[in-house]
Amino acid sequence: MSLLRAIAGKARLSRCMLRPLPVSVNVLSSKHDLRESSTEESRKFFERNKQLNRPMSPISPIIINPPLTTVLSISHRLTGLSLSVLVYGWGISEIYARSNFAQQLDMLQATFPSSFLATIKFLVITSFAFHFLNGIRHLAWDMGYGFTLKELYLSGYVVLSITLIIAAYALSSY
Amino acid sequence: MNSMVAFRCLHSKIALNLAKQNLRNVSALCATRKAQNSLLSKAIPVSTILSKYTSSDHSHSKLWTAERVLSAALIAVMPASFFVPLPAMDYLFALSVIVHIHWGMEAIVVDYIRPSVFGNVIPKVSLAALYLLSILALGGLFYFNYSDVGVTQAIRMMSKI
Repeated sequence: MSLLRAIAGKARLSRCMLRPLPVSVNVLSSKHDLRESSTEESRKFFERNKQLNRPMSPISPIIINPPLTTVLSISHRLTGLSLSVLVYGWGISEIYARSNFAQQLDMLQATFPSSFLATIKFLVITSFAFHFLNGIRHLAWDMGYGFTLKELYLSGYVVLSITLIIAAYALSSY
Repeated sequence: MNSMVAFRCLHSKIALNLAKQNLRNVSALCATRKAQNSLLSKAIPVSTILSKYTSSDHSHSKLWTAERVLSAALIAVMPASFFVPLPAMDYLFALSVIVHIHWGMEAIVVDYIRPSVFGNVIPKVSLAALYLLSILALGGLFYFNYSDVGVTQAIRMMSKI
């Protein structure tokens, strides 16, 4: 019995030693090629379809009828990007500012109509609320929660509803 | 040519490290016979070893974690800066928001300004420009904290117009 165990242990030991190497060497050498071959693959696909004269839809179905998850995903980027532009614009313009902030606000109110400023404010509040809530949704995914299709849509609708409530509240306070 | 040699050297070094690592694992695991049953469960997964040695930049997985930690921290930092009336909170607010924005914009630049679409130069220039803008924006907000009312007070004032 102990002999058997020793043999089994030895076999396992040599397997342990050998197993990772061939796999890793494979992966190592093909790591770079993989990326190359995927672009090559898509080039072939488009070339073949061109040769066969296959009609290509100019617009992908995902653009015509996007699912909620797609809309929320791209909105997360768009809201983040727009808020970023505002923050960076503010930060960089403060380097060149010649007046204090109270005066800057007065100048803003003198330059732009109040309806414009109110619209910007509403957009900022709504964008921030959405980005904040959807960001929590993203963090949950990063921790490994909420990946079933049902949970994806449920959390998506929760984020959307709370954002709409905040937007409605922001509108009502004008 | 040189890079090819360096590449090969790197490979053999990685292979050597892998072998060493496995020898260490094996000797540690086979040390006690009682541990035999848990041999397989204790072995470090191939993927872990691989990702440790094959990633071109070792800090990437840590960077990913840092991005998430900062995002989660912002949930607390942002309201805290409004409730804790300390000048330091303005600086913390500015720093964490700018770094969060920088990482987000970096992801956008890397995703959309790709070498396969824009060639080899424009993606690098864009990324460099982003770094420049981030540093300027951070400097601007720090300067604002130092010479003006500070970012949290400014946001309060903006919300009143």
